[in-house]
Amino acid sequence: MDGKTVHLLDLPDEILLIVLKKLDSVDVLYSLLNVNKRLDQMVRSVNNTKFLNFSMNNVQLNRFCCEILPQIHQNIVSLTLEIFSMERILLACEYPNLTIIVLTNFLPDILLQYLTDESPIFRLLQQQIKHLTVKCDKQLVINHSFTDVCVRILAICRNLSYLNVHQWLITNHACLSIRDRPPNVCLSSNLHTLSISVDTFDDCLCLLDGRLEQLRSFTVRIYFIIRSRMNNNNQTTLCNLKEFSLISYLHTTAYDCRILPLLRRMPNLKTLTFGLNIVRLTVIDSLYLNEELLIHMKYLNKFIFHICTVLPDFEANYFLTTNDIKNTFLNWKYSSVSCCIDHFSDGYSYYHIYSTPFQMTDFMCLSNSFCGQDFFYVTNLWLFDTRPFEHDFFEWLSQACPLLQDLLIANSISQKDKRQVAIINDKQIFSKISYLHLS
Amino acid sequence: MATTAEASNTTTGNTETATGKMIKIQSNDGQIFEVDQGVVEQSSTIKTLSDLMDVGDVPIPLPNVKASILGPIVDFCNHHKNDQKPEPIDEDDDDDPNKDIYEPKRSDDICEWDLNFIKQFTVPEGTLFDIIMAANYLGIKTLLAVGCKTIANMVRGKSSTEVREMFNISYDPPGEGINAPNAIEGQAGTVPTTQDANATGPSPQPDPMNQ
Repeated sequence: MDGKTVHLLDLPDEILLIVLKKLDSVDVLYSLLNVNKRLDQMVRSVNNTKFLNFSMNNVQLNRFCCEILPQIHQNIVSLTLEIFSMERILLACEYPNLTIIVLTNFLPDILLQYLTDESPIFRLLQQQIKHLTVKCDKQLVINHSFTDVCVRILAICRNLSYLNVHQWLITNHACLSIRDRPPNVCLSSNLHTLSISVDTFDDCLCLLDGRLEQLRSFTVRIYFIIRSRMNNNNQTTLCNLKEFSLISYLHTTAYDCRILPLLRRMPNLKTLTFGLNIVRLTVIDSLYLNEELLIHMKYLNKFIFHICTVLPDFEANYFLTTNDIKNTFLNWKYSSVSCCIDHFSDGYSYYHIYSTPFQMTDFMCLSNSFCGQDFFYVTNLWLFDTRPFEHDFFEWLSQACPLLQDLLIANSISQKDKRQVAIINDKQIFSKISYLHLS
Repeated sequence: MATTAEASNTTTGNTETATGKMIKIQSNDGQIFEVDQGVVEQSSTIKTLSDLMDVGDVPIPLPNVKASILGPIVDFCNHHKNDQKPEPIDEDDDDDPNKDIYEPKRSDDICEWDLNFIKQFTVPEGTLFDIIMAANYLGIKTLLAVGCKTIANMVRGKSSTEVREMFNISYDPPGEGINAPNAIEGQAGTVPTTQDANATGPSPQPDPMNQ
């Protein structure tokens, strides 16, 4: 060192690039564009101007719309926008390469205003947008409005190949309901990936009746799958479908009569994911899955699941053990499987089998019997037990599910061990329980 | 005249301790620090040099780092020497198709000890950049990350004018000043030197073929 004071611009490019990588693209652009020429060149690199996520105050937004976006608009491929600033940003300049939009703060009435022929962003939506994600977080949205928005999106965005419209919390969810609408809604010849919540299993079947002919990946959530509301004898094979994911929360008795026939229409699946609570008279294990389902899917190479078979105790000749069930998975060719069994005092037994490491975000009917660290990715959780959930359980839960966002507890038995502050050796020891992401 | 700073509880010399062989490193202003294997393992530069050279009791010269920076760096490495080794992260993963492009970049995960450590280095005195450049030269990735995250946190939310003021950067209109195109081309890819002109020693990344 020669005694000269070192400045930011004395740092070599490689270090400045590391600093830039620690910042979001919008932060990089807002703070470092036009600072000086050397920084400008780095800031304008394609990676900093391709994917922009806007979540900012008005002052910052003004500068972006007036000064920054006009300088980089040609590079932009993806924009993440709040619905209130969407129009302003999209009209700030032309975006010839924009194909991806992620929309946050979903409000159906406002979004519907943009999904018309008179909308100032109509041409952009109609001709350019190929990927659309609509995130609905905490707003309560009714199914009718949600459906209107989805129908209009698919009607207007003709080039859409990817649509992810998800509002799904156990306690708050909006669903697509098209079974009572004309058969020409939700038509698309380009859509290959769809992730959505639907109201009933019939709505799921409607989406698979041929109106989405190119669909390759379908993720669907259904709160409650009932046996039948309408006649649907569609046996058409879904040849294009390569990935299918089905999550349902409430106990269903319709697995054998409705879900299984649908799955058998998907012979070319490569990836299958499901989370189901199934009321049956026999437990679902590896033998059943192989004989009734997997034998029909010769291309399947990834199978992730959580199946909870709910069995009335009076129907059981004897209680299976976890080893009985695990032994059926000895020659299992997919990811390893864990098992947990609960015999509840209400006369039902719950037989859980689930893939490990558990990569799904939803888990239903977790009880005091579970332990271990399999549930790191779980964000939506439903607790059920006929025994109380004690302090130690929640302490484990907060560590086992650090990303938990939505928690529903079905339990009316009061805790015996209510700890908030423990005093050990005259020192207050506060609870270790914390849920940083719980909404 | 070199002086020896005791960075561990051992006496001077090439001694063996519970954590392995002790190694001496020398700052560009002549101060010698004795460090154990736990510190050496964190610096790819020192590790390479100690592996390639049979240093014996001779201190490894570090011509790009002065004692006032090297001392805290030894403290940093001593504090972190028992940390769990992080999984290797590919810094150039922008093209990774599995990367979530919407995932916020992280710079808020500096632990409390590191936050307090980095506070002793400032922008006006230039020591924050000294420690970053030294971490880069010595190949101490964790310290480099702490320094870069600190600058990122200082920059975030500031306007370009505020950034210029904070880092005392003069605005150079396009085509003028030190950042004129020719000047930039001349500087591109070069590392500003803070090296003592009189210092001698191996290059940071020695070529084994030329040893």
